[in-house]
Amino acid sequence: MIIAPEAVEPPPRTALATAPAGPARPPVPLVLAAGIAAAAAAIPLVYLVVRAAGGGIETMLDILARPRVLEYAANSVGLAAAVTVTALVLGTATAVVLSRLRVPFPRTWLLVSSLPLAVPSYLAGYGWLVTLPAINGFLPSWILLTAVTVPYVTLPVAAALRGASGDLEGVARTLGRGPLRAFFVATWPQVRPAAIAGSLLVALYSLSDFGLVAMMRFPTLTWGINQAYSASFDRAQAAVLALLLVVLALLVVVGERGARGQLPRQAARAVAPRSVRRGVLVALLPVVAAAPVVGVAVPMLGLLSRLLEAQTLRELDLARLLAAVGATVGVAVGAALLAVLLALPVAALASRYRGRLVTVLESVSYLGHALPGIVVGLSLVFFALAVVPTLYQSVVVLVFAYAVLFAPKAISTMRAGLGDVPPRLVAVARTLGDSPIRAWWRVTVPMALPSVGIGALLVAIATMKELPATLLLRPTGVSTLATELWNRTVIVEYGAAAPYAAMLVLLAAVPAVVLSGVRTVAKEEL
Amino acid sequence: MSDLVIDGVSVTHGSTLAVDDVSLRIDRGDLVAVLGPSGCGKTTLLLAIAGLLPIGAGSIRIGSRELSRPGRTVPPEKRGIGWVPQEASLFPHLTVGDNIGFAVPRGRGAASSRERRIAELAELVGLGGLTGRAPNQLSGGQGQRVSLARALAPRPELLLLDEPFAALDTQLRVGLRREVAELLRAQGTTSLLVTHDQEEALTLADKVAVLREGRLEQFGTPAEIYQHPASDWVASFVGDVVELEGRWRGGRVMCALGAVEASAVGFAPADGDPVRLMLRPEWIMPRPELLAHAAAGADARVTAISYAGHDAMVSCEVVGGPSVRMRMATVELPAVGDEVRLAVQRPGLAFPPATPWGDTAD
Repeated sequence: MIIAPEAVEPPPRTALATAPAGPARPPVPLVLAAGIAAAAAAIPLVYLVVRAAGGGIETMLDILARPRVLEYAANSVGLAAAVTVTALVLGTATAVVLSRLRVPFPRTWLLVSSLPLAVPSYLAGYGWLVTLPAINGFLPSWILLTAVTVPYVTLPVAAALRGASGDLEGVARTLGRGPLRAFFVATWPQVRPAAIAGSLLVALYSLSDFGLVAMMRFPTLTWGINQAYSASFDRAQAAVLALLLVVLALLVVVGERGARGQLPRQAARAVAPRSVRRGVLVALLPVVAAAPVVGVAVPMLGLLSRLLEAQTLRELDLARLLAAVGATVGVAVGAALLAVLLALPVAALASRYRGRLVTVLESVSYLGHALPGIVVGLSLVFFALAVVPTLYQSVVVLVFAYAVLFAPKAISTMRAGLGDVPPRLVAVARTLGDSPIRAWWRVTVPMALPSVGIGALLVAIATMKELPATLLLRPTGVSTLATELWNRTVIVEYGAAAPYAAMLVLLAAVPAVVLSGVRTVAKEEL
Repeated sequence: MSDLVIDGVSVTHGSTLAVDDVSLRIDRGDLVAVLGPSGCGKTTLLLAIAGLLPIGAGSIRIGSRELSRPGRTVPPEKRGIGWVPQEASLFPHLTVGDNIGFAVPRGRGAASSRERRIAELAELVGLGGLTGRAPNQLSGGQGQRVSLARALAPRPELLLLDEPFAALDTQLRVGLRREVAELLRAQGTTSLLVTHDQEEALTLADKVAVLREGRLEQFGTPAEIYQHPASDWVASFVGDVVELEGRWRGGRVMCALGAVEASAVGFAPADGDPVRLMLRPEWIMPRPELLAHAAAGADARVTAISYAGHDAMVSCEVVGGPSVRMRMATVELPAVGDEVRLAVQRPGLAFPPATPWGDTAD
């Protein structure tokens, strides 16, 4: 999952900050390259609209009025609302405990509370089904989705709490407010934008999720889309459902960007953590440990126990496992390269230039952030069949889908990396005799290179974990770890699925955790 | 090089006029300080000279070569003007040596001439053995030295220094700025130093340009700026002042300290007109033996002493009048309560009286 671009900041005021930024008009080749990237990102949505509207308004309304469709929509919205509210409360509580109380090993706890992000929802679902095969429906979907998405709230709220001015709270206390009221009067307003932006990411994740709800047989829109396309071959219904899902997701993303725009950015003296009695800490342990235990520990234990069973090891088809690893790594590398290629001009443009055109190009390039994987998969199936039939069911379309879905991760990382290169250093290079291009090559590029690498890695990790688009677009005979795990789980072969799940953890989840230790990576990106 | 000529330059920044019709002529080899409070446009002026900002009016030339005029800005890399920004701004991905050698071309085959130049510059700024280090292994003072060496490497015609010592602690600052000034003089480099620190400007520069709200208030030698400020604002900006109300009479100001000889600045008072007399605290001395040939004097009592080590600020209440402050060496300090005879040992400055609203007439 990714963060939306920061709302366009007002231009900095001081002469030093703006002066060496170069010409106000972006160079034409850069705009053209960014335009190509934006056009690529727009293909799935545009083609979905074309396809869904192709049947005519009446057909659309007819499909929307079907009782099953209404049920899917109600389930999607209800699940997303329940998960969002629960994650907001639990994440905020966790953040407050970790940043306001003196807990032993605070950094470790913060890392632990971010772990669920590394676990794809369907992997958590698999880990639970191994132990409790009977669970299904709304309740487990709600609990598990909450567990894996809570960090979207915990991490930004903890960061906002660290940045929030404690002086205000102290003032409120001296004016007669109790600790709790002082927190809500003085600190909550500073934290609220982060909490809301985080919760809306949770809502987007819940709406987009396919793997977990499908494993729990809870019929939401994503499940309905897959059902309509794969099972009943009702492509008109699939398209209309996808469009409905996209509308809901875009509403959430618009709200999220609005909330993020209000994030305060000032340095302030934070509140020092308070010491409390050991008993209080023990009583609060369930709050902090709930998500890591439900989302990570139990599934991993379930996976491990099944993996080490004698039968699993006996029936291990090593060649097939290695083929899946090869396919997974192959598409991940391809997707990372293509995503970086598409992201680079957009990031370069957005980090240095402003204006309506830049904003539009950047926003369109971010579309993949809002589009659920199953929607992109479905739309590209339609697109490939209608426009480039020779590429239908080829790796090219699959890699393109990943690039569209995950290029926003590369854009935001690289945009930050390029933007962090102080304009003053480029100006120094200019006064030392470098032309603009030479200064870019000698100063900007080497300094921003790590962010390009991290962006590529984020895309690769996300690609390895991707399930719904892969299911729709993978060429016959090509299986990734995620699809192998999926195919075995749906036929209740939990033991046979275990090696694939374990490899997925090793290849995707572990690098994600390692990467989260890199200071410049926004944890929400994983 | 030839002289740098800044002719009627205005720079608009956003919607504000940051530099307003400034003209300066900087002679070859001089070290000129641009002094002003923060936000006065001095950094903007520097960026315009470096070619990092376009100008809205006027022109910037070196000799007969035009560098900037409205609509045409020679790019920074074609100007031959070095820039030492605030906070060193070293390239973090390059070593100290490669920072210094950034503008020294890599020769084909023998890299030795480049290496020699880097070593020579590192030696010049006193960082001989550190060329292999990364910038984050340097202290603040060392970082500024590297920044200076890097700017000097391509032998610029003009060096711009933007508050290069502001981020350093006091002791380091005083030592480093003296060293840098000596180095620049020894190299014969024409330099423009931006600072908000009047002591820095007065001690280092051959000439000082005082800037206020984008306009040039005064351009002259440090002594001219301090002893003969062009306005009461410059007078109080570049140093401490003692102000006394009085009346003008034939080249003197009649005030609590007697008839003090003074020159009127910026206006021509008639006898009997009210004026404001400005003195520097060190122009007043408790030296009765001077009174005979001093300009003026009065009896006073010491009310407070603010001790600063090398000198002290002594506050006195003139008998039947206002209180004045004098600065004196701490060798023979009076005590609080002592009666002293004050003498004014040089002519003061007369300005128009303050307006009833308390504003000075600009």
